[in-house]
Amino acid sequence: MSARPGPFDPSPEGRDTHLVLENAEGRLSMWPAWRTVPSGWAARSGPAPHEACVRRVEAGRG
Amino acid sequence: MALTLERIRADVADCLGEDPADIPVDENLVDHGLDSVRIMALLERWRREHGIAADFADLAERPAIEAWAPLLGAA
Amino acid sequence: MTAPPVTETVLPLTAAQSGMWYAQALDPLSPAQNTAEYLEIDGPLDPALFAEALRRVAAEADALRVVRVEDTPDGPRQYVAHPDAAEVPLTVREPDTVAEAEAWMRADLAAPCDLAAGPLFRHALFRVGEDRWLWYQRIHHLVIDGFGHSLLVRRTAEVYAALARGERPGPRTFGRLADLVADDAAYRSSQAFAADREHWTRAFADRPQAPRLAGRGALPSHTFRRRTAHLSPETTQGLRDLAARLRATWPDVLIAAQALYTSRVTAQPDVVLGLPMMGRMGSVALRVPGMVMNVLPLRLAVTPEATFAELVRQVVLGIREVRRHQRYRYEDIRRDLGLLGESRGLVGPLVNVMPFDYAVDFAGAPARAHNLSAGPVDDLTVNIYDRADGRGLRIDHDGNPALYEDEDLAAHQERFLHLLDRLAGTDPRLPLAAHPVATPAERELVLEEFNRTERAVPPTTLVGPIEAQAARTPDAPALVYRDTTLTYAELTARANRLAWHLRSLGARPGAVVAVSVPRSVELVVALLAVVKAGAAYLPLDPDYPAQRLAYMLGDAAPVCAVTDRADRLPDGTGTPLVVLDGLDLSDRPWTDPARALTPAHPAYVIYTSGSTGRPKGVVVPHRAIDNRLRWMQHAYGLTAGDRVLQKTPSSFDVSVWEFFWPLREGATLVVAEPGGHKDPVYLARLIREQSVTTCHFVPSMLQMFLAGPDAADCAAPLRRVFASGEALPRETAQAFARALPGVELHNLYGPTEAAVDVTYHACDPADPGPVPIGRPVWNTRLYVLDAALQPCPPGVPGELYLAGVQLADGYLGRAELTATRFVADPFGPAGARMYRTGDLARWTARGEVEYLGRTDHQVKLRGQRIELGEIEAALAAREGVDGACALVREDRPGEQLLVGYVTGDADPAAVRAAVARELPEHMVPAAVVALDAFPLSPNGKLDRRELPAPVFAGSGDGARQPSGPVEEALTRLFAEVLGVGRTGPDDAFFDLGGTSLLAVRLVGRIRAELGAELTIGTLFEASTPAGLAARLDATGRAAEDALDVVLPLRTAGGRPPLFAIHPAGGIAWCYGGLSARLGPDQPLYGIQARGLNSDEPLPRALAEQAAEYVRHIRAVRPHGPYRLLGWSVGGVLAQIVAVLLQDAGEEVDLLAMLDSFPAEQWRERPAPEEGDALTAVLRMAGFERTHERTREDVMATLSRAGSPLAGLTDRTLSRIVDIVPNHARMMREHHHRVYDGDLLFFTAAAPRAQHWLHHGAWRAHVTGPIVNHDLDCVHSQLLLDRQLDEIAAVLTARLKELGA
Repeated sequence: MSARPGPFDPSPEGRDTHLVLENAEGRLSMWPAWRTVPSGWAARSGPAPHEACVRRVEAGRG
Repeated sequence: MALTLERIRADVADCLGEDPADIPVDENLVDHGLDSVRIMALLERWRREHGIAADFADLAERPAIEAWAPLLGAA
Repeated sequence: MTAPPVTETVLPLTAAQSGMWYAQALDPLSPAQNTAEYLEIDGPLDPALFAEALRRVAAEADALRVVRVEDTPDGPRQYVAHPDAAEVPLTVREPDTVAEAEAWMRADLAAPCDLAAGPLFRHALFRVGEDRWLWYQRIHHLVIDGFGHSLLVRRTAEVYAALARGERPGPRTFGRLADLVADDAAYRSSQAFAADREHWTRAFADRPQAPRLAGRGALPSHTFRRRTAHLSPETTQGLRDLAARLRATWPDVLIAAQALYTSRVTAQPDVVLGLPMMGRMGSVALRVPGMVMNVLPLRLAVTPEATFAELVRQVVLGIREVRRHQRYRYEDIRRDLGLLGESRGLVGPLVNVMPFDYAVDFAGAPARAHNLSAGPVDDLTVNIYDRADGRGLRIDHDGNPALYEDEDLAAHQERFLHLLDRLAGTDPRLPLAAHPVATPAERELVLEEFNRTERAVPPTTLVGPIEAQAARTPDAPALVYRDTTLTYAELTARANRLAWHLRSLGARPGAVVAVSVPRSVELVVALLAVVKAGAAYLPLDPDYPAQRLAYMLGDAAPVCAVTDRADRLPDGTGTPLVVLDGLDLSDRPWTDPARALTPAHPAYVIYTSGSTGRPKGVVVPHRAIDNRLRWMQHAYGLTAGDRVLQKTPSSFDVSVWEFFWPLREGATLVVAEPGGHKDPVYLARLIREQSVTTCHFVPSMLQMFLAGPDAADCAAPLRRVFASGEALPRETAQAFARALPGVELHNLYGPTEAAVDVTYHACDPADPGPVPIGRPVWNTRLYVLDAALQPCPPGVPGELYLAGVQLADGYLGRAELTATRFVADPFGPAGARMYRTGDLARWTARGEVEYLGRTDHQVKLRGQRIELGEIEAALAAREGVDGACALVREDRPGEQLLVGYVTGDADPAAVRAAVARELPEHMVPAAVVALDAFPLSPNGKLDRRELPAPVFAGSGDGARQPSGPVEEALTRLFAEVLGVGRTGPDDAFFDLGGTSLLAVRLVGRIRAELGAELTIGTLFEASTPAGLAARLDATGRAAEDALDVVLPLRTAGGRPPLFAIHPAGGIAWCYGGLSARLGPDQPLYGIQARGLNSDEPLPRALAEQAAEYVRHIRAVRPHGPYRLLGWSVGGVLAQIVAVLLQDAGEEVDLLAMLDSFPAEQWRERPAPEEGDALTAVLRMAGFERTHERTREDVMATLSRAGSPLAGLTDRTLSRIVDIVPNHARMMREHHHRVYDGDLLFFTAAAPRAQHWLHHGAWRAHVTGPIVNHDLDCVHSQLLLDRQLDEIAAVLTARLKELGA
């Protein structure tokens, strides 16, 4: 078991690591900025630090 | 065309991905990243372009530009 | 010691050679240290001239003249022959084929080399064609390495060419072995050596885990497997070009590619590769054929966001750093880091680049080298040869056969080649995440082929099919609980009336209704009513702490909460309550309520542990659970005749199918008692009595169930058992097959976030290895993804992601959590989501998934999901706690223990007590340990491995003494089962490290020793010896079967059983203490009077009674030898039983009596009064009757003493009142016959009123000697602990004499 950050975890340095994606149903998904955005989803915000993306989702702003 | 000390230094720097100014002529090149594959590549190049006669062991035995110069006819 | 001959030089070994010497000494019969290759020579060759060339080279090369290596008091020494004495025997052969020659070579290579005897090498020449030769050379790795080989080959070709031309070969060019030794010694005493050590120790101070492609390490084998491939000239050129663009060499690029591959396959972002280094640059060794090479660790960080260009740069700089310290030996680094002692490696795969130009020729005949063995392969070595022959790079994957099968090597190689292809043709500035390690074929297999689960299902809900079923079979039994059975019509009517009522309170599609009702008919009615009303139900476990219940009510904001009693839920939550107790619904309609329910509406909300300290509500829509139940019905086909056990708490999602699947299919739901799910004995009885066909177990509970005495009795009714909730061990599946042959065992897997289960696997006990969690259910896709979110090929571990119709909507009111766990699906239909499980898993080649563990700190404890973060948050919130952490330990195999650690000045016991008020029982640490500081790893992270095991100590000597034998026995049993020194009567079981598993063991011991019937639940409610003793007093009703004629006190054990016959009161529980003292190998059965639990007539004569006992005894043990014992009347009966057994021709080899006297001694004495039954009862408990006058007095005495007899029912007591005088009467009427054998006798030797009683009276009735032991006690005290110790010691010795 390694405690390293996974694709959806914050990186220790607080870099611009993540996107917030949205699909047609309005569902939101965190997404690592280094991976191609899956079809049917579009980036609503980011790249931004993980924390910032989480706050945007909490606020419902994506 | 005969090799010069500066040419040797420039070629070595090139294969190490460094600036020639950063390669001292009297230091062990191993400490700067020189390895057998790079020596082989340099040898090939110098044989092709300058017709030198030294072999791998000659260069690898004392990997420093000053030591190489006489072996490469650049002394 | 004799001086060596002058023709030999003796040299010590270099450090490099010593490494090889020790490796060979460790395994003298291993040929793994042999290195070998052959040269294929195309052209004419003169064997005689060749032999001469070899001889001359041997004269020049010291390595070829090392004749032997011997161990001496000063360490191993190598003996080098004088150059004039160089001998090189050359075998010359003419095989028919190359294959034949290769077979010979391999056979030669497989023979170990005896270093002390020599020779250390072998040469052979094969003529395999008119002008085609193979030159084979095998040399021990102690004297040569790969570069040394190339020096020898080149010189041999040079000398041969000169000889062929008739010329003198040029002068010797080799350096001397002695120079190498001197150089090595100089290095090892130099400043550089110390600096190098410092460098390596610092670079690897945190001792990173070696990345193993096989997932584990192994000892070196004697051989290795090899698979060879050639990289196409195009790809080779592409890699060279790429290297040039990145200002690197092609080996740098290959090493970077291997690092990328290794990182992904091992799921490690920190990769240490092994680099075999020539080790000769700038050294005299450059001209010495010898053993110089070293393996050095190259440490690389591989992350998905980095580019390949960055990774190559890291390699270039990393190797530069390695080269500066390359003389320091690998073995020394491992020793410095303390890895040698742990047999731990430091590096994963080796990347061995061999750029030596082998373009040699023998007098014009070109030669090509074929490596046969490059030395031992500990794990995996990727050998890359640039033979400069225009054929592209040759790549050999050499693997340790203990770790890699041929197909494993092939898979690794094929993927590596594909990856090189991709990298050669891709922009190196793309993130590494763009590159999958699976081949295109593997990708198709794991993404598509294994996930073909599309299945059209009608758009229904959880509840629709239940209502349809109820309409079809209104009179069929729907539900059984205790003595109540409801038909479908009755259940429907009750649920409908409540549903209408709930509707009036706001229950409708999209709303949530909480249900907090213990397992009962009402619970089923309530859950059904909620879904009938169209709302989602929120189960609230009535056992949860009030604070947690209040949190969930606040978080989920249900429109109302259904409870059985008014005080079930905490006050002040503002949730309207629907209290079932006393609720009159007769005016509500009994018809199905109307509702605008769609498959997209939520069906239930179940809370799971949350890592940030707050539990989170998972919202599961009807579509998801409906798919799940439709699949289940298709897979397992429940029929109207099936009876499904409902025992899982409703707050655990397995309960969802237990409740609703049977009701959708017309089967019957059998509802277990509250708490019954923790008690294997109760469950076995329920399954048997209620003919349960289908049930579920969490694997750890299944294990306990199977270990119980009654599991096998469930084989008849049971058809199928489902296991889920945690990993199912293969041993459990095998134990299942043994105990319940013919019953199906299905392993299911799924998180609450994906409608209970998403995979299934039918267990076949014959299968080896771990039990897979299986294949995806209908309309479900499984992805095993690596750190770059790319699919892992079969066999490669990754994180398991789930996609498809069964996904939950998300977490109630937690958008951010939902967006991080339910994420965009890159492989499914556009816009689809996948759920990130946090579980580690891998595909098997057959398309099933194996569960491997967790990627985070979530743990499963007895099937319950626990986020350690939540426990840590609860601990940290306490006053005086500075830091907290929690983990699950397994210090004793199979016993998992949740332990909390805190720093600060809080009292750990108080902290534990405080969190127990907030967290559900399964999340409360068994112990909280206070630390001064948390142990840290060298890089400053918490080092969980270094956290100390909790020390559990009972209050021991300082505790009050146990009062009464039961409390005393219980304190002893607590200490035994918990494995702690001593416990006091007020020590709580769970404070001392008690776990559920240990609880089952303890209850088993209490049942066996005290004959007391109690459930696991009792232990949870009363967890101290004192509390438990009081509980046994108050409610300790003995189980009915503890009053059967045969009372099995210990059934296990290899020796012939001992049968112990009851005293006058008829109960044999008193022998429980004997069982523990006679040891685990001695079975013990009590024999009790008939009629204790029935109204059967009592026997009229002892002979009749004894004859009946003989039948019972022979049912247990059909033939002798028999061993009998009895206290009081029991001894008399034992003598009669012995005689009857001898009549039947059976052997009786032990007859033991505890203060029993023959009939004639009693005949003249008056029979006791009826009231003396009470005296007999007291005596069975070890008391003489003193002040007790009435039955109430007697019971009070027994109660105070904690005797289980205090729990006897009135009916049993009144039977004893009959049994005691009946014995007295029969005793006086009996006439003894002679028993042929010895008598072992124990006398209660304290002065007594009946002074005439004497064991000598038995002389008339036994033929053998009577051996008597006097014990300092009165008759009634014979079975108290002190006497029992003595009696057991004598019995043990006697039983030992008798043998098995």
